[in-house]
Amino acid sequence: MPSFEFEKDELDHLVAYVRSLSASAKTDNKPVSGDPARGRQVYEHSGCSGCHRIGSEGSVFGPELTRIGAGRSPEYIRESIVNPSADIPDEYNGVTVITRDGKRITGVRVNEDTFSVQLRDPSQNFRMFQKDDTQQVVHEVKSLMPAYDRLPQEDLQNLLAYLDTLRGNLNAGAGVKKEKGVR
Amino acid sequence: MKRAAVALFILASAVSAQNVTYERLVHALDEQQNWLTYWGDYSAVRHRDLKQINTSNVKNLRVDWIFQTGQTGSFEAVPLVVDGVMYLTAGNGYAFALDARSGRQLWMYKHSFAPGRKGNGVNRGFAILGDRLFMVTPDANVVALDARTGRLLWQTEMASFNNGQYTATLAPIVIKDKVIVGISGAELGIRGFIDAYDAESGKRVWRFWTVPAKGEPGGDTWLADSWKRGGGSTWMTGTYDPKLNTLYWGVGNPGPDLFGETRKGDNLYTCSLVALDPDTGKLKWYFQFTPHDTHDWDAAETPVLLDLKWKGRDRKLVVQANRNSFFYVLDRETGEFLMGKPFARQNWATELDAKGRPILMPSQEPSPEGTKLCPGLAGSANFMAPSYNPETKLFYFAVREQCDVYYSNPPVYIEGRPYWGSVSRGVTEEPEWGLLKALDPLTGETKWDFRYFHAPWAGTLSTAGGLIFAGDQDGYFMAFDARSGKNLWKLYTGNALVNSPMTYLVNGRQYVTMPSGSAVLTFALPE
Repeated sequence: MPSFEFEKDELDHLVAYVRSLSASAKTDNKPVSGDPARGRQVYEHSGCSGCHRIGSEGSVFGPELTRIGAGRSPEYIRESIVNPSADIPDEYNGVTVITRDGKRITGVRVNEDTFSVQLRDPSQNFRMFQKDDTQQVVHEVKSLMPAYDRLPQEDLQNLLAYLDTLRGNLNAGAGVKKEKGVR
Repeated sequence: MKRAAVALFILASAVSAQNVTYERLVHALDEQQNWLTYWGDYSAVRHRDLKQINTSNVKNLRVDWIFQTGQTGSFEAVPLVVDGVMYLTAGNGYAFALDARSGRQLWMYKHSFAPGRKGNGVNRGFAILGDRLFMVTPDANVVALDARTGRLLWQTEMASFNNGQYTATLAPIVIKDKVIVGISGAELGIRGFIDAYDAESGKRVWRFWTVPAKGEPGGDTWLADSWKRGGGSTWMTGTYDPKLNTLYWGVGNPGPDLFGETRKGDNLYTCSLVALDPDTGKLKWYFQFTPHDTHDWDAAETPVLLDLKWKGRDRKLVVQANRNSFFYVLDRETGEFLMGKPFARQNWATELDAKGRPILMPSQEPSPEGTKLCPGLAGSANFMAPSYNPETKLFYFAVREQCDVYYSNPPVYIEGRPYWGSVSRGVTEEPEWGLLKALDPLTGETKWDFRYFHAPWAGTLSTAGGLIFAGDQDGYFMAFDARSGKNLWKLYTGNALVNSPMTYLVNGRQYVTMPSGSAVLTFALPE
């Protein structure tokens, strides 16, 4: 991204505007009430890791949660759990491909163009189709994540408290090892 | 013996040297093997009577050669091909001559930028006359090169660079002994113009201001002194009718862009088609598509010249699929409005009146809280070239289906910085898409269309092989049956296509060229 020269007023307005676009952003660092340790148990028992990844554990099917506590507000995370269709990030749009023989393959759309569509299925495999070879490509309106709207309030609050503690490094363990003498 | 050898050498030199006379340019369509102007000829039909590649064998089309320009940025130049030599410009002041059969480089030219001037910027191609090539540069110069060597012959500054305010991107057009060019920068507070330069000396012969001054005809369409920064870029090449000796040129948006409060009035000749005498630069007539534009709907789209039977009478027409979503048909002798019909989603005009003036819908102006409007800032059509097939009698062009939300904000003029009064953003709750559309220019009715997943930036080429070549934003270069719209062939090029295809013939073999990324891709059937 190139650097831009703005007057101070312009810059303030720009920042205010950008902030206004992101109601999901975290605005303070106050800890969320609840028991993070119990929340972790809720996370594990509810099968969240079947779709989500924290650090090196879990699936890459859904959004990674390693840094979720640093980037998203508790309100946004709560809504994402009980009503995940309220805001679906572009990179997690669901798509169902119906093949010529009637099979339905649903996954997260990785890419799509005029002639082809590529998706990631819940088993974390890429599935790739030429549209000519399919019956139909259906763009899912709802999130592929089920709504956890029957979770007991206490469990939900503990889960939020746990997720709020997740502020890890997305690239942890992926550092480049430099050879001695190489700068 | 020695004398005979010398004579042979002289003969060979005379044959190999490029000598593109004005007569050859006038009759460019008689040289189906060549591509002599940016549009392929003066009328911009972009149709070639070449049928070696056709509907039955296009499935075998493959990449024949690739030339890497090494230049970053949007590659929007359409090459010229003259008797087996391809001449093309690239971004950032570069230009090349290639063997059109192999892609091997013959020479390279790099524009020398003065200290402090930016060296990056898009360019759309050359014009040729005699053995001279003409191009513009990102710092608003016109340069003439020796077509045989790439050597610089002359260089003329069109306007003071002014910290990047004035730029130039288009391919020039040569008419008689003049090189005619336009300017860019209406988003930075310029006053636009069209210039003619003497091809031999590089001296300016005339200038047509696209924004009239106070007291001049049309000057009363500008509030106070707003004309001084009134915009009106001329960033796309015009078309020309040699019989009428008339040059047709689309004019861009008014300035400040996207904000009308400070320039109340129709703001002539912005968003208009102007018809000029190419000998003098005098205005013959104009037609304004979008009076008092506040959405950046330049009229820079190709003004295609067609001779058709209009309501039982032979007429000389100029047609344009305008950025504002309407397809227009005008009489090109008089500028009379004959027809205007929407070809894409639009929610800014209820209709056009009998003279072609839009009747505006309420609440279509940019506003502080945001106004959703179709088309978006990029328009339903743009610089990508359409084509017209005289056999199917259809007009083929790329359509963008994309809306924007326009937020207004009073602008402040600072030299070299954007002079925009609004910002726009895409409507996030609905996806964009695009179409390749085949339209009857006599009725404005769609005969067929093919849906693209994303809104395109690539134009079309028509051939007597019954084919329409086109490209999409995902990087597919495609061939379609001109009559049915059936997709017959495609190749994924790996980069968004932002150019228009062209075709030529060397040694009896037909080639089709379409740039992608920073490379020139040239296709042919297997030998």
